[in-house]
Amino acid sequence: MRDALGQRGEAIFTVLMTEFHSHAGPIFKPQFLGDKWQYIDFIVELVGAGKSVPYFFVQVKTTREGYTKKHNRLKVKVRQENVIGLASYPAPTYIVGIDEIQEVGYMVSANGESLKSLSSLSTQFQIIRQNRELLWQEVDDFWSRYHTNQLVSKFADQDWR
Amino acid sequence: MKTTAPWYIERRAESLAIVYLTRRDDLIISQPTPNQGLDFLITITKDGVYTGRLFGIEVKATDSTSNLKKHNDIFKLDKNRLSILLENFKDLPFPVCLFFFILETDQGYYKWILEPKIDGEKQVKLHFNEDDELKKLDDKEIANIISSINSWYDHRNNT
Repeated sequence: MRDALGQRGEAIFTVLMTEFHSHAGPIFKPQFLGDKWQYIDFIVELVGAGKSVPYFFVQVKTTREGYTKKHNRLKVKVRQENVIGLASYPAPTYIVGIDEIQEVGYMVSANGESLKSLSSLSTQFQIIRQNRELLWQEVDDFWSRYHTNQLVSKFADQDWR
Repeated sequence: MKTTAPWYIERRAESLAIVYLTRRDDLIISQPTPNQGLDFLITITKDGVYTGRLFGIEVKATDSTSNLKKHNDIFKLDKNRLSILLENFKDLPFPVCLFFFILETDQGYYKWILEPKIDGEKQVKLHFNEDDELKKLDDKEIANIISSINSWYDHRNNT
């Protein structure tokens, strides 16, 4: 069974990511992947991107330890192995820190970063409307560079055309 | 015409329920298999120890208040739809609450479905509550809910 703090962090993350942006609802669709994935907690799909469904991966770290005094960074620990594991996926990947007392979250990219462990997380990118919209655009831009339907597969069903 | 609720209604409402409930540190929240009865089974712990004191939460939501009946600041649920929902939980042997969320504001409301009651002779029972009125849900009300359930179990164990 997931520990209570982790369960709470995942719920806060889902609530933050599914906040409504219009009458059409949220712009992200997060799906918890279960405890058996070593590095990833959520796959998050973009809503309203057209024919394709861009996505990104997230690892959620939850804390009730608060912030560092010096730089106001959230006190969450992420081991180097986890950072490397997360960054190895060929997709946008992010680490989200959840302050479970304030019920707020912060996001940092795990792509192309210096692959070190973290003992605290930047609070520069809080999960609020403005940053969600930036994130949506960033992930959409990433996937728009690929033409995902152009794979020529050996497993094609010739009657399925 | 039957309409299907958008995907985010259920997911967001269940996450909100977990956020509300996990503000306390004495509750263990379990989610049974989807579409198999109650949305949540909650166990109350005491001093970090498992007590076996169970209660149920069913979660519903709407995306805006325009979908609700409102009389003098009291929200009411559609009685016909409510009675179908309530019947499913009538025979459960523990207290059950309905949590209801308005997703445009994240405000929660609740009503008892099976309310724990202790009558004058200290007999415990579960009152099947068909009332359609919703009360505002906050940390204080959740504390009241847990207190009522604990009291019901205390008296049940003493009879």
